[in-house]
Amino acid sequence: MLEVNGVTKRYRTGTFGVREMSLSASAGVLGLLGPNGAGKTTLMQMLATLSRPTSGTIRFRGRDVVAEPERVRERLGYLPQDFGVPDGLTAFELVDYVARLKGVKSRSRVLSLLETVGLGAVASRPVATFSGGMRQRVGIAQALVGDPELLIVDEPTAGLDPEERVRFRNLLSELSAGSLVVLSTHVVSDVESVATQIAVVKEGRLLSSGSPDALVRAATGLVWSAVLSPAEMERLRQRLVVSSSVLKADGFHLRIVAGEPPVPGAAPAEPDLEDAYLAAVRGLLPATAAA
Amino acid sequence: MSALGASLGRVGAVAATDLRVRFRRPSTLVLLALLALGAYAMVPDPRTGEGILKIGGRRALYTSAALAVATGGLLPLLLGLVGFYLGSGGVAADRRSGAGLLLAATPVRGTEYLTGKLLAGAGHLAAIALAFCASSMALQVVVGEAPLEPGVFLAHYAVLGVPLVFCVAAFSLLFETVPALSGRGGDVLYFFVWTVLLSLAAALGDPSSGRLAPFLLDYSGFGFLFSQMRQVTGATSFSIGWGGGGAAGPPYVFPGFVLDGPALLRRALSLAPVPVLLALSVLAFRRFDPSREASGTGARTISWRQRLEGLLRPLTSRLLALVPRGDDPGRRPSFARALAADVERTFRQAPLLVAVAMLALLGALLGRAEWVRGTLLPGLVAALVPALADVACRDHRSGTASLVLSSPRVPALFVPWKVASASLTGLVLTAPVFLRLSAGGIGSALPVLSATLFLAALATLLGVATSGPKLFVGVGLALWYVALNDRGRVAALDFAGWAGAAGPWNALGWLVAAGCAGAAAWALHGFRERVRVG
Repeated sequence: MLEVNGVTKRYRTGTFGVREMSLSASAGVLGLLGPNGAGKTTLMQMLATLSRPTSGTIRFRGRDVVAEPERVRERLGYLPQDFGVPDGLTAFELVDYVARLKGVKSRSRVLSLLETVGLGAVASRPVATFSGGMRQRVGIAQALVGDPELLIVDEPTAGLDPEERVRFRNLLSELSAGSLVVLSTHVVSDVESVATQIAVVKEGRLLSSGSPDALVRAATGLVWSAVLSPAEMERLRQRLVVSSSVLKADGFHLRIVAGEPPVPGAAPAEPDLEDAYLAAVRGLLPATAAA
Repeated sequence: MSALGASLGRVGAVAATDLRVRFRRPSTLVLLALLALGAYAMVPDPRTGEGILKIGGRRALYTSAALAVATGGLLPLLLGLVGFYLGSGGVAADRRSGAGLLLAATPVRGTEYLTGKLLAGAGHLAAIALAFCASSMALQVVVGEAPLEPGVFLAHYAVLGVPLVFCVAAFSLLFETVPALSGRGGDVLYFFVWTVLLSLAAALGDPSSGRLAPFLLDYSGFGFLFSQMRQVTGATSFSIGWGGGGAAGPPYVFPGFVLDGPALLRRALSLAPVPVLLALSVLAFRRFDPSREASGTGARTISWRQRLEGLLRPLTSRLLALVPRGDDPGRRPSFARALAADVERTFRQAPLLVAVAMLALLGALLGRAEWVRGTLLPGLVAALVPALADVACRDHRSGTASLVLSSPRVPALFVPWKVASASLTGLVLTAPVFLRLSAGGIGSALPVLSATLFLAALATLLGVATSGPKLFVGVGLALWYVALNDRGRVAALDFAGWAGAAGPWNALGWLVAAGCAGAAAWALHGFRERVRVG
């Protein structure tokens, strides 16, 4: 469905946004995970036809995204990380505007999308009066206009409360039947329950990709549990990659990501996706985990 | 649906949404209200013997044709200048708000998007022209000397205004999409483009010449207006507006323009620049590509101006470091400290101002008094206009307004703070000239001071009213242009005193105007804040 081959984005100043990235994805939810500044947004902007790669190709359903952007845009839904609304437009007017640009003229469809994201009752209110979470839901509604086959959502859960996050994840899961949802985030729990494939990126490079289960399996043997005294913790804090830390009566109970036992007495632990992500970011996982 | 139908649908969607946004702006509603009142202020009562249109020294009777030409003749100034600065910004608003990213991912093509924006801009200006036309018609009902003929009114407005609204909208688009023209430099440049084209069209507007250039350049309609007046009245002189000397002889019945085929063709030719400007805009449009937009979040390009400012930045920092800051952590926040911080921000944001200030200092020290007054001062005032334009609105535009308004003492004193900040910035530039001219008598130097304070207050008022710098750039440069061309014939217009015509009373008048502008800004800001806070 989506083929990214050797894509590089290099700016005029010589800095790289994305370097030689290759990945492929079929229908489902592709989660792009990476720290801030990893190149997720740059990659998504290229997938969304907003900017062109310096080299490499991107194909969606066999069509070249760079050569035929208009054809891809007909099937595209996009929610940017930072989006705004022209002053004074209501939620309905904004979504209707995008709908008309996509050739969707049905007002009832626009209303139904706003209902889907829980904004039906406030559809005639200016978006400028909305809270951050409500604005984000307007953005989600406009991205869903036209039943896109490729839905690109960049940090979509920022500003959503926990209940909205869960509802949004479920919505993405439903939408991914027969289409591809590309979801970028630096919050592992956002993709844990919905992603069918995860790509971990850092400094513009793809570090590791595979299904969530495969990534977790690949992290087997890389996660350790240990109990450290506060003094030991203070001494080793900079050296350890700690995925969780809980202070109890006997000291700090830690989960540590490392290629070998990080401290004497460390015991192997069952990895989870957060551990796998940390392992990938530290370069401890293979480039492609088994599917 | 056919491809053409779909394409037109997208153009219509862009145009309709943009128009909706424009008409919801308070500035548009304020302008429409001002225009309704403006016609009454501009047209003198015929019973006083004055007339808004004088032909060969005779007052034109207030017929629909005469009032349409007299008020429609102001459209080049109203739409060509004020309309450009007030009406442009549709593409920039999408870029600034981030809505452009949403639109760029839809099937709308660049040509469709820009055509929609062009139509919206033209529609917005047309509505302004129609509001002015309607208020002029209403005026005729009140003070007219012949029955109202709406068709005559509309025909004259249409023939003057249609090329104007489309060309101004197309210029706006070009100045928004070409990166080098999209900033404050572009705002200033458009003013000179407008004055040059206006003068060219008027100078070349002889219909008997058979040349095409006058028609193609005459988007303002000035050339057409002059040639029609000559053709219809046979008079060699006419004037529109107040003044122009007392009327002599019996009133003249102006028959109106000759709107025959050649005349209409001539105006239609003035629309020719529109597709050219649109095509250039399409070529320059970057479709909100974050990696290519100069102001985008992912911008990676550096303009010549940024390079120049980069060179001046170290010098600016060194000079600003010489100013005592009083960085005592124990001291309480004060108005003076907030003022100093805002002035410093102005110079840090535009290091070019430091170069201008140093040139002004050198010029004032080394130049002869006549040169300082007649050459350096007009140049400085022209530089002051773009420099002060965004002082009052930059917090809103950069999204830091809520931070600023949560600072101690700032919310209640926002407008005085901004007026003082703009005044102080202006005085850094004009103080050397003021001191140099003071050597020849304080009275002749006072206008420098009053002009600086007036421009600072006006910049604050228009910045607060429109939340943008463009209108002040347009109005400020128009005032500068009128004063420069008047060459001191009307002492009150010599607002900065560079023609040597203004005296202390004129300076006092401009100071009073500055006070009024500041008070209006304070009232407007206070009203908005009460609405915002609820």
